[in-house]
Amino acid sequence: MEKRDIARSILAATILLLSFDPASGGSLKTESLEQKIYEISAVRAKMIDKIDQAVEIRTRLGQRFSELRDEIRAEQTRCEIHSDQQALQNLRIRYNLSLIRIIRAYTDRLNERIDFFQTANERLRFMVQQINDDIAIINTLEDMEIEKLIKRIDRLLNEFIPQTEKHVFDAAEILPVSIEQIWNEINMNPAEKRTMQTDQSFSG
Amino acid sequence: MGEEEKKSEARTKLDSSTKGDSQPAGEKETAPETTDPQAEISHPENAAEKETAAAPPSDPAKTDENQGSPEVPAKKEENEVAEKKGTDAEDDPNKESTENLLNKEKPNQPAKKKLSAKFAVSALLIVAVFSGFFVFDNRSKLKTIKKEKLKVSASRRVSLKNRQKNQSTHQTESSLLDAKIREINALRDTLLHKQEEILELKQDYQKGIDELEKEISDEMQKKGISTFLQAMENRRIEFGLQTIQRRQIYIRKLERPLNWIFEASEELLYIKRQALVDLQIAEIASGIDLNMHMQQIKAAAEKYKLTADKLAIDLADVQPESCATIWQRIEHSRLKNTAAQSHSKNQIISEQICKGDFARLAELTEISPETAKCVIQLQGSGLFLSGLTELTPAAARHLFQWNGSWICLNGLRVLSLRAAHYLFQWPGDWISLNGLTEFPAEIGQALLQWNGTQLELMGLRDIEGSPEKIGIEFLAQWEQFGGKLFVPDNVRKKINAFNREPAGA
Repeated sequence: MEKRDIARSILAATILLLSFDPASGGSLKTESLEQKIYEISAVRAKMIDKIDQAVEIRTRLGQRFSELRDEIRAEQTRCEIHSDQQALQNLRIRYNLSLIRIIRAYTDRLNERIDFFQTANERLRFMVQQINDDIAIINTLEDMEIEKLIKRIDRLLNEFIPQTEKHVFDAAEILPVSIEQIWNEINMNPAEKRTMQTDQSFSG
Repeated sequence: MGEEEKKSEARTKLDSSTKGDSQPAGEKETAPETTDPQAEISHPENAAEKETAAAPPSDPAKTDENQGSPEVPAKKEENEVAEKKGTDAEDDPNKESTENLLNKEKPNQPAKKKLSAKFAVSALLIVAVFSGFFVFDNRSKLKTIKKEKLKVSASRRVSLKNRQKNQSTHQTESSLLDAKIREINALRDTLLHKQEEILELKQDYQKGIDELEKEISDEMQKKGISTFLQAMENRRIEFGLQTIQRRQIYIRKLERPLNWIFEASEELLYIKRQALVDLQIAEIASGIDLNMHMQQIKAAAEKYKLTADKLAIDLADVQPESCATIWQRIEHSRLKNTAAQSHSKNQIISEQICKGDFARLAELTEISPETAKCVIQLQGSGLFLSGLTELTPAAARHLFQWNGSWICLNGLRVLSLRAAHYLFQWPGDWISLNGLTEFPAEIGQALLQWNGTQLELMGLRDIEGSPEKIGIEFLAQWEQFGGKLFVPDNVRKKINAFNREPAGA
């Protein structure tokens, strides 16, 4: 029994020594940071997919918007509509404006979400750079305080992971503008400007 | 004159001379022999007399009388007479010649014997005394020499022993000190190696800063950014500037461990050299305390033992350079170098690729859709993009239109589902994705669309309790369709086990 106790004590002491060994501590830190890089990379991959998906849909919506707008203009010409009241009384124009209103709301929301994911992606990319910089320091100086960094990473991951696991946005949350407002924008031809701006952001 | 008359006359002379002379006989007898050799030459008769005197006594009765006590005075008288004769003979040659004549005329045999015996005894005694003295003297001298020799040899032995002892002590100390010197030498080498590592790290950070500045410059040019406010609205530029700030802090903070190592290595070198000098001198000089050196080395080794806490950098209370200042520097550099723009590495390689130069293709770490469009112009069977760490679906969409048989993307840590979708529509045969650690089911589903023959996934990590990380069933199915997978052993076992199970089990 005594021998067994001694053996246990030696084993416990060895484990304690190993656990306090800075080199092993350094490698543990490196491993945990590398694991964080992997976690971040996985989240970033999902985010990039979300951005890609959102940009793709936004492009399609932009095309739909152009088609509807062109149809309104054609209808306006065909029916010789000059006043706002006439236009809003034309069913094709009214429905098209209604669709454009929704498309506009979706596009606006998509733009917000794309911006959010792009910012999140850049933030996570920045974190990966910092992790790589810190790993280099740990490998050279055999240790570094990483608890704060890990906390920051975890906070970010906790914020971004749920965003990647759900849909890009919830349609029930959107708030479309009024038809009159859309008509004014199209009539004043601001939509082309918007489309141009949107096209630029699609390519990003 | 007749013979009888001569004898009586001689006797009378002898008697008269004996009465007034008390000189010892021996002296008087020997004196003419030794002191006056001329007497022999001038008076040949004297020599004859001497011979007679030196001859041993032939009469035993007389010898007994000589040795016996009652007749000693008479004998003394005779001796005295004889001595007197000798003396007189010296003084007066006429007397001597008379005596000689008398001796010749009347030889006295017992007296002769006595004399010769006396001479013999005295000679023997002299010889004995001399030889005894000689022997004694020699012996005592021999003893002294022996003793001295013994003393010398003993002292030599002691000194030799002491020397040997000192030598062995010195050797032991020397070897111990040698070991200690080697120890601090090794420690110094470790420190210098660490110094090199830190310097390299600093250089890497500086290179990273330079590269980031070029990337920011590229971004500013691409997006038409000309003010700091515009720059801070661009996330890539904002985080790039923050990364530069952090790396500058790291570079500054690494000075502390560098200085510590420099001081430590210099002190260790000094201690080592000091010990080496004394170690050399200790062979010929006393008063060298090698033990002191050992203690000094031991203390230095303990003091400069390389530990994480001694190299630690303190990132608290740091004052980074402001982002505005960094941006101004980049902008100033950009405007200054408009003629000969210095672009980021990826930008330069992308431009080269789009000009048809694919030499640095493998160095790309990021690929834009525009660059991907240029890459597909590459003629060859293999496309090696191992430097890529991420791949956007937009770039993948163009990239996997390339015509070839092997694509190597081993730098990718993660493959997004959309990128996988484009990848597994590629018409080639062989894909290497050895950087992937996971291959989830949704990616596995995308794989089933691929008609290629070989897929390398040697980096997969099968974590117990996380079966969702690797879609084993899809990998197994793809193999069943004729594909060849390269996976780690533990994953291979699972795939094989899956393939052995009956369908629907």
